[in-house]
Amino acid sequence: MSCRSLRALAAFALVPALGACLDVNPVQDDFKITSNVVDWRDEVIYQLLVDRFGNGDYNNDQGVDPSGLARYQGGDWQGVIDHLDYLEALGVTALWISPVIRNVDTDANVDGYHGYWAQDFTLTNPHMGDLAKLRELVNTAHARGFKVILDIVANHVGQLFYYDINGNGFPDETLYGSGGDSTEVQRVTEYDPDFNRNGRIQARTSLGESGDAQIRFIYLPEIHRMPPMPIEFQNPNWYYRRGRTVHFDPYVDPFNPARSCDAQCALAQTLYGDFPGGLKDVNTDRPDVQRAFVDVYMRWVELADFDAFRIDTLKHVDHPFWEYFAPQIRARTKALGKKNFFMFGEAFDGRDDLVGSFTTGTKQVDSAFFFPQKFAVIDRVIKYGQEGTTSIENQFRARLNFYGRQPKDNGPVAADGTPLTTQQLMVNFLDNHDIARFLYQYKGADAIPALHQALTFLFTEDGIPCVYYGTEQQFSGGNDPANRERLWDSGYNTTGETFRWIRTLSDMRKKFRPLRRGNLDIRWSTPRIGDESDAGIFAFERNDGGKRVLVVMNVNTRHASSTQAPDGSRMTLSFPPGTVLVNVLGDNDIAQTGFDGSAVITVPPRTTRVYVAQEDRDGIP
Amino acid sequence: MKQRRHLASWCSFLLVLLCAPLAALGDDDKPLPRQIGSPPPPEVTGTGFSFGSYGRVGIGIDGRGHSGYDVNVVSHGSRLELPPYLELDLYYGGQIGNTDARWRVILATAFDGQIFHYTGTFASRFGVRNAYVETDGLGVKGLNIWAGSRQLRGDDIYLLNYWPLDNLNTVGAGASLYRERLYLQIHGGANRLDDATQFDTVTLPARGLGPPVQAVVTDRPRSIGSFKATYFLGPKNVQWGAKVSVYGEFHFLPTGQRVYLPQQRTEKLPADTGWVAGLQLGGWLRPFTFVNLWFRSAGGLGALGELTPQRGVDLTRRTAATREYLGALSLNYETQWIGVQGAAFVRRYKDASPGSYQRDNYLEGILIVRPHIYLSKYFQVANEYSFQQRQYGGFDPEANRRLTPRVFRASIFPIVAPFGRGTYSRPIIYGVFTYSRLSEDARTQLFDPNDVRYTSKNVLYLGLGAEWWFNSSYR
Repeated sequence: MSCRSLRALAAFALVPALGACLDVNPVQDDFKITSNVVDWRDEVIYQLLVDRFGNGDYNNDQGVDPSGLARYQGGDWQGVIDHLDYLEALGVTALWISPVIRNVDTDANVDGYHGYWAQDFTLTNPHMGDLAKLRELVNTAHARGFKVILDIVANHVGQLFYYDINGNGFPDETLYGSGGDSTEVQRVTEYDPDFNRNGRIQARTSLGESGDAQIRFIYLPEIHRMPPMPIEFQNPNWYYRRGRTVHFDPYVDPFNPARSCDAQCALAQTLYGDFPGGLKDVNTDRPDVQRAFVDVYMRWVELADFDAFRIDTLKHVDHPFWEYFAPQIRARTKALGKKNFFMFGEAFDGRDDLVGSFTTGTKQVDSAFFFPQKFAVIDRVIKYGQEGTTSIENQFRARLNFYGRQPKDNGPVAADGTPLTTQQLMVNFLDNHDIARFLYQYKGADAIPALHQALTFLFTEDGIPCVYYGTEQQFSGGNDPANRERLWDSGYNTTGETFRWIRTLSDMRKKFRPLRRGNLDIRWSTPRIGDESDAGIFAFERNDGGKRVLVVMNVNTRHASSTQAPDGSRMTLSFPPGTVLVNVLGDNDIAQTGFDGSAVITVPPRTTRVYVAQEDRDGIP
Repeated sequence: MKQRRHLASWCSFLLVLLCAPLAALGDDDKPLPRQIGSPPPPEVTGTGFSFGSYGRVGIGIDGRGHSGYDVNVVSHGSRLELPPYLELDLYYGGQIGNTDARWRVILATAFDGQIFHYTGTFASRFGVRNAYVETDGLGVKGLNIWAGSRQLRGDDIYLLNYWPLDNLNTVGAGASLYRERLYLQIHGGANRLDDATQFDTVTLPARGLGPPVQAVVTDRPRSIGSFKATYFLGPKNVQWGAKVSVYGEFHFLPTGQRVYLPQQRTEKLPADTGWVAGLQLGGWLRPFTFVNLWFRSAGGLGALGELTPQRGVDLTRRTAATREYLGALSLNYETQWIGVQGAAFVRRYKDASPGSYQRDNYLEGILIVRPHIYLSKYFQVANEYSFQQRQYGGFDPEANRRLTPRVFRASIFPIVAPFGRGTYSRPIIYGVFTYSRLSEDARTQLFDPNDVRYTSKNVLYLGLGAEWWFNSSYR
């Protein structure tokens, strides 16, 4: 109608440029919800910070300051679209993009480029593009076979209010005390006061406390530091209002008495405290808050057809919330006709019991970002060699013990429709935006072989590998924000050795189905880390429908080791006796199982070999 | 290559300078009855001062008694609620020697925005719209040469306050030549907008003691050349006729840099260009009964316009892919008892940015008609009806959808015209009542939900005002 009316108008004006009416809407209107995932275990996730990945449009570079990585750098969704070729060449298949919603632009001279400082859950972050561009990104990615994962936060919003402790309507920062023996000097900021273990932050004057401190939303429209939206989030009761947390784990740290806090207090801080930077903790115990989070995040699936959620700060929100949120999302995505929607959460913790607790039963999230493995295996075994490979085996046992073994109702399924469990869907990683990069933490002479070995483990073990952007360019930044480098500084080089290594691993994973979907059986682990014959050896089989792949890794940095213990015992495999095994990752060297099914395989230091039966060397589809 | 472009953009300017010696050929050798070096006194050769003006001053309220406001959703909509604007045109000039040639200094000062009696603030926004010198018929009959600061304009669409084809504001020079049916115009000029893409300084410590010093790090004047050729059709000595004009502009912005302190990180800015190509067809039956048609196509900087800084760039930081297409119509018909003004345009704009944001990708149009009924020689009643629409290619960042705002307007206004009948008779004193119907998208585009004006789709405007022009330097 509108186009026709304009044509009529133009005809009146004798304007020949009416063809323009046909292409005025370059944005695709044929948006629809699609199901794109056959089996999440087939995917290789690539985590990218949009602001750092690619700058495809200089016209949204407002506030960009290249001089500091804590500021906006200029990346946007167009930049991701522009470099899908690069990602295709790398061999990754699922893109985990940083949060898309409008954030506080800047706070205390640090910018909200990362997306974890929500201000308006309903709008796109204008630094990244608009909804049309976001849809274009998702649609284009889908058309090229990528899946797109949305990063969401349900724990907190940005620092959008302060506690008016003295009731003067002004965000004060005050010093108390004389500094003498009787009272030490204390700094109190109404933006981010200390945690109150007894309840809400209290108002007080020189005459004493006077009830709950009022919260006052900040009004700075020039930096989008505004009251939260939708307007329901402006209800003061939607926030715990307990003050700043310094405990991120619900247990007592005996080695850090400065943060002394009993278990109850630590748990309260973890769940109810404002996150560092004064990020205000939302009262996720409330049913209306729970419904609101379902609505605001489900809306993005409806608007832009995302395939999964990566959920931030999982352990800072109590279990009942997830037991409501996750089933609701599953039911509503199913109602949309979207199959295999996937939710994995981030619980930044090394304790399997804690991380796993969010995945058990049939209601909680589908999977978790595997932090315990990162600490116990990637760091202590592969990176530093501090522990024997029995620690890897222990980690696998912990996976079986602590992580969800029941499929979720309406949860992810395999290609044949078989429901999948958390234990099959753990998201494995080496590093991410919250921790120093692998090559920062490990600077040994064999750093690159160590990185490649860790990547190989990631791509061959049970679960879904997740590569943090820049790993392929051997970035080596330390902790936040140094680990959030601009990818374009690399020139998007596709010829570097780590880029090619990841591509090789991805191709191999694609070629041999058991590496994606097979059961994992450990064939060798050792507590030995010295000069012993098997020091550093870890071997496992992936078995899918009778087709097997054998992975043998030697994390020892000093000498070749073999799958034979000092006492002469050998590794036993499930391959038939006499099977000729070919290493498909590298030099095609040969091994053979003995008459008893055993095999002694010697692997050079810092090397991993991946064997298949000779008849399968061309692939196991 | 870049140097050639730069030279090309200035060629018209140089041509103008070359015309100056030609003028000397026609000088009368007889000594002037005065000393050279200052304007002659008024009693000599008709030299003197003259004054002209354009102005509009009005006030209005909406249906709630609040300040009246416009509700246009296209780039050039109805002018009925335009804020006050005053131009004072000052001229001083006269005859050159004993020839028919003349000279003139033109100064046009202008005041924009609300004025003292409304705000109580004894201040106004002041600007100089024209400040140039021209000679006419010096050396060559029909030759006009000018230099200075000037708004150089062609025909307008009065109802929309819009110059759809040629409307340039530069500091430069130009020349025009009348030859029988042919009228040729050429101009070269430049501007350097107060925008960091064109001019920027950094503050540096003094060498030794003293205050910090400013160092210019970005200095990119935009050079603009334009030409226009008009051919007049029809027999001489009759009231009716027609004309055809072709028009072109070339814009050039040289290379430059942006410097970010304190790291002194430097970003290179490539050269950028732009162009405009247009055609105007005009015809008239008698004075004030005419029709004009314009077709305009523009690219790069030309599509942005000379007063808009470099915006909506592509990944090379250029505007090369920016496009504007325009078709426009203006007409006026006069009889003893009625007069009708009408206008329309359709305009397509898309910038070079990879994004398709609402602000930089749209198709817009308006159809407007204003019939006048002359009740007597001095009193008339006019009505104005218009429909306007803008169709966005990008999404609205708040609504998360593509807007298509539409506005229908109907106005009635009684007019007192002391110089008699005519749609262009000025000055006028008028009252006006306007009803505007806004679509939902029009409200969304025009006003924030917190704005008191957001609440109504039906907007009333009750106002009064005056408009005049005489001896104006508007072109």
